[in-house]
Amino acid sequence: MLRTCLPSPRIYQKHELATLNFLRTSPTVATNFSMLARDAEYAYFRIKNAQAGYGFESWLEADLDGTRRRIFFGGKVDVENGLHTGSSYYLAFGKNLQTPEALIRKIHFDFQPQAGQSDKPVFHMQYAGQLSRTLRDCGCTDQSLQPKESKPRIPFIPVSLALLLDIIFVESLDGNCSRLHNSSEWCDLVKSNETAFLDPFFDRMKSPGGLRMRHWYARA
Amino acid sequence: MNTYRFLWIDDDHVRKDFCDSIEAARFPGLGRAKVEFVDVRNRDLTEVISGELKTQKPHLVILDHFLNNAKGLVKLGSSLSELLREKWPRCPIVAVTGAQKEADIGTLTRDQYDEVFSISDMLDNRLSLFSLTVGYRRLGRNRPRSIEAILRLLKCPPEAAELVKVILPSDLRDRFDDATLVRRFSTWVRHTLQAKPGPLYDRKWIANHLGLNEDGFRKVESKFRSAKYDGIFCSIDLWWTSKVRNLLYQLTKANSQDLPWIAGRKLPGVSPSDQSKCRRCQKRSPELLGYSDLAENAKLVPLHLACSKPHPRLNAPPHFEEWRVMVSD
Repeated sequence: MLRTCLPSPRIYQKHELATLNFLRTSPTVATNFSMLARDAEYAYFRIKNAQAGYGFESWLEADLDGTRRRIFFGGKVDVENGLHTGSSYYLAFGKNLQTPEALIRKIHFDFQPQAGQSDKPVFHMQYAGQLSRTLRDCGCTDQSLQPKESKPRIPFIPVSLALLLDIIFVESLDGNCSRLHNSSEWCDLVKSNETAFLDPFFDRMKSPGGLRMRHWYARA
Repeated sequence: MNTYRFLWIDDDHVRKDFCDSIEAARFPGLGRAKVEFVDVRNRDLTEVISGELKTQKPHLVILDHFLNNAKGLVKLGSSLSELLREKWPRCPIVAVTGAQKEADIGTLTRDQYDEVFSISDMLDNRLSLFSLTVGYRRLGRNRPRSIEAILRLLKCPPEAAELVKVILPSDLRDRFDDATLVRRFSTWVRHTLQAKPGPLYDRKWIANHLGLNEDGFRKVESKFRSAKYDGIFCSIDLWWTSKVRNLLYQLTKANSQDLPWIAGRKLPGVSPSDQSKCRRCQKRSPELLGYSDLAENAKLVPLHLACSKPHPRLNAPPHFEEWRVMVSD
């Protein structure tokens, strides 16, 4: 079962808290992405005391594809009876700083161990999808996304908050993102997330008689 | 009970009347004061100060900022404070001035003093005088020599420790063997840590952060007693915000998605009339306090993030709340 690729809920939460702790205490984040530092500070103790699932959403402004834009991101982890029942992370990109809430792209990364009406990859990436309540509260609009047309689901690797943010930090040519991406604290954090979230996944793939692509799917 | 010696140097003898009120003040754990008023009207200031410097160091000096009625070249308390600090580097110096303290004293001059009080507010600031005196004394006797020692002086809870370490100015992180340490530390604690909303919130900020007005917060205040600031230089009600949030989520486990201003409204005993409302849209759960307008005397009012914009003139240091102003319709 691919669920076993993920760390236990307690260890999973510990990694997410370590990421939030970095975001709430990093001087680089506080100086250049003050809203992100603030959101992380507010979320840290909420998630630390969470009994079951938890979530975190925020945004930062960075250069991507030659345009400075607002990048929204978030994650939600569902836990029931000590078992992961799902998780969903997203990245959403505003058009530019004149219309920061007009979304031009949204991608989400899901862990869905239960099949729905059809087979689906347990870990998958998907275009668009519905906006979260927080995104709507922020005034985000999804006219150009066609949110209901979100298939196919593309098999993907497990994602955590640090691994999600690293996607932005790597790609952005923004000096602040590069500084974060290259800082030893962030590198250590990403490395520990890779060890916890990706190593077990790839080990399963490599092992004799291990997973094949068809095993990535939860069957209907 | 400790009795502290305050030295008040002024050219206006009418102000001597304030000494009795300061001597009569009693604050738990902060001792009492004996105030020595030195009237320098028509006296040579340099001579007076030379005489005073030969006496035992007082625990606090109160200086009139404008000493126009004294004789001699020195006519400003700020110049005098330089002389006093040379001899008594670990003695707090407070200035008193007329009602228009903002207009009277520029920022640079203000930095010569530990505090500047309008004479009309002097009685309201008696607690500050005592907390400054006791704080300086504690620092003098127990100089911090590490970041951990600073955290102990602040009585910083574990929830806030990492944040405080990050916001400590670099000169407080590694310059411990220096005569100016006491003053540098005192200035940072009182003028940054305690004065700006960030790791510490005052009553208005903490109430709003929990989605409540001040009356509503009074109903639940006791639940957050352990988050109240009681470290060095404590003279107003402040709460460690990280500790408040930790307590809040321990108390309201129901929905882990709730932000503090939503979760706070679910505390037992809170009624709808206790909830904070945005000054602009009148809806519940304003996330922050911001200025009502750009005027000098604008008040801080509850606002939603979307109902406010960054203040064009005020900047907050990293890890402190951004100063915002209400968006006009």
